[in-house]
Amino acid sequence: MQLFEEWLDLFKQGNRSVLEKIYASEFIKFKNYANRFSEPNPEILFDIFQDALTITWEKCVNGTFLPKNKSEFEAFLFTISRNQYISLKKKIGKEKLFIAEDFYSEEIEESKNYTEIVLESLKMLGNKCKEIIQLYYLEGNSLQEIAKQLHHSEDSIKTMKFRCISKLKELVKNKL
Amino acid sequence: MINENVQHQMDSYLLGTMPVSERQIFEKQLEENGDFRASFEEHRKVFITLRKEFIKNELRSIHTHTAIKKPVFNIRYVAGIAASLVLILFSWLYFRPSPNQQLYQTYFYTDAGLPVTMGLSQNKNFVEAMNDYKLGKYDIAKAEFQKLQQTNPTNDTLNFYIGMSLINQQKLEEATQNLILIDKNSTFYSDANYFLALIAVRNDAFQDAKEFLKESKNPKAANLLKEIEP
Repeated sequence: MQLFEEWLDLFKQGNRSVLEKIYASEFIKFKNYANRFSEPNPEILFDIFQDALTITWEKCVNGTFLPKNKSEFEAFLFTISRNQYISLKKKIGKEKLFIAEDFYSEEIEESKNYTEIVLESLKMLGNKCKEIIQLYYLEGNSLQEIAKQLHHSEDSIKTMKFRCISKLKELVKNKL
Repeated sequence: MINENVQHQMDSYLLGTMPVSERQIFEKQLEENGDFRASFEEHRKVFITLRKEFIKNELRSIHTHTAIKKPVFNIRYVAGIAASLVLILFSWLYFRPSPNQQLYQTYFYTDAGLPVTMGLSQNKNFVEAMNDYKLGKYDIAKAEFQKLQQTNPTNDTLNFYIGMSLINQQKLEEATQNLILIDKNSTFYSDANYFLALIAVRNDAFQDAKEFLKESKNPKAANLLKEIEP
C-alpha cells in the first residue's frame, strides 16, 4: 500500500501516472456532477477541472494546502471545480457555457495574466534558452538527462539554465 | 543577486529533490535572511508558473489520449464484443487454471515495497525505481533496479525487488534466479523463500516448495505448507 505522503510527493513532482489516476477518478466525478445540470460541453468542464487541479497543485507546493489523506485532497479538488463551475453559471445566467469561456474568478484571472507575461517573455529568449527551460521546467528532465540529450556537460547546462532563468526574470520584471 | 548554485538549490528545494539535511539549512537561511527570502520568492513565482504549464500540458495530453481511446458504439462494435465473449468462454473452458495454478493465485500477493520519500534517501535512482514498482510499472522498475545492481551486485534488497518485479510480470523462471541468491542473514530471506515456494507449487515441485517453506517465517507459509502436505 502506497503511503499518502509518497503519493503527494509524486503529485507535486507532476508524476504522469498519478495525474492519470486523478483524471480518471476525479474528472469523471466532476463531470457527473455537472451533467445533473445538463451541461453540454465537456471541453469547458475539462478547462474548469484543469484550472482547479492546477490551483490544488500550486497550493500543495506552496504549503498553503496540506491534505492529511486522499479523501481530503479529492474533496478539495472537487470543491474548487464545483465552485468554479457555479460562479461561471451565475455569471452567464441561463446561457450555455460554451459561449462564455472568458468568465473566470479573479484569482484565476490574475494568475493567468502573470502566466501570460511569463510565457510571452519566454518567447523572447533565444532558442537554446527556450529548449533548456522547456526540458528542465516544463518536461521535468534532470540536468544529467539534458546534458546527455544536448551533448554538453552537466555543469555547462547548469550555467545555461541559470543565465536563461535570470534573463527570463528580468524580462518579466520589465513587463509587470 | 543569486548565483547558479543557489538558483539550482532553489529548484531542488521546490522540486522536492533536496536531501533533508540540506533542506533544513536552506529553510533556516530563508527564515533569517530577508534578501535571500525575496530572491527565493521571485524565483518561486517563475518556477511555479512554468511547472503549472507542465501540469496543464500533461493533463491536456491525458485528456486528449483518453478521448481518442473512447470506443464507438455501433453494431460492429457490439458484434465484436459478443464474439469476444464467446471466445473468452471457450478459452475459459479449455484453459481454466489447474489446481496448482489456483493454489498459486490464492496465496500470491504483491509485496508492498519499501517506504521511500524523495529527499530522505540518498539514492534518487532507487527512490524512482521503488516508486515505479509501487505504481505497478514492473518492467521499468526491474530495469532501474538492475541498473543499480551493476554497482551493487550482491545487494539483497535489489535482488528481492528485481525478483518481485519479475514475478509480477509472470516471469517466474527469471524471478527464481534472483530470489535464490538472497543471503540467509538478509531480512528478505524469509519472504524470498515464501515466493520461491509459491513458484515451486505452480511448477508442481511440491518437495522443493516444502523445503523453501521451512525456511520462511512469512505469515502465510504455514497454511500453504498444510495445503501441499499429503
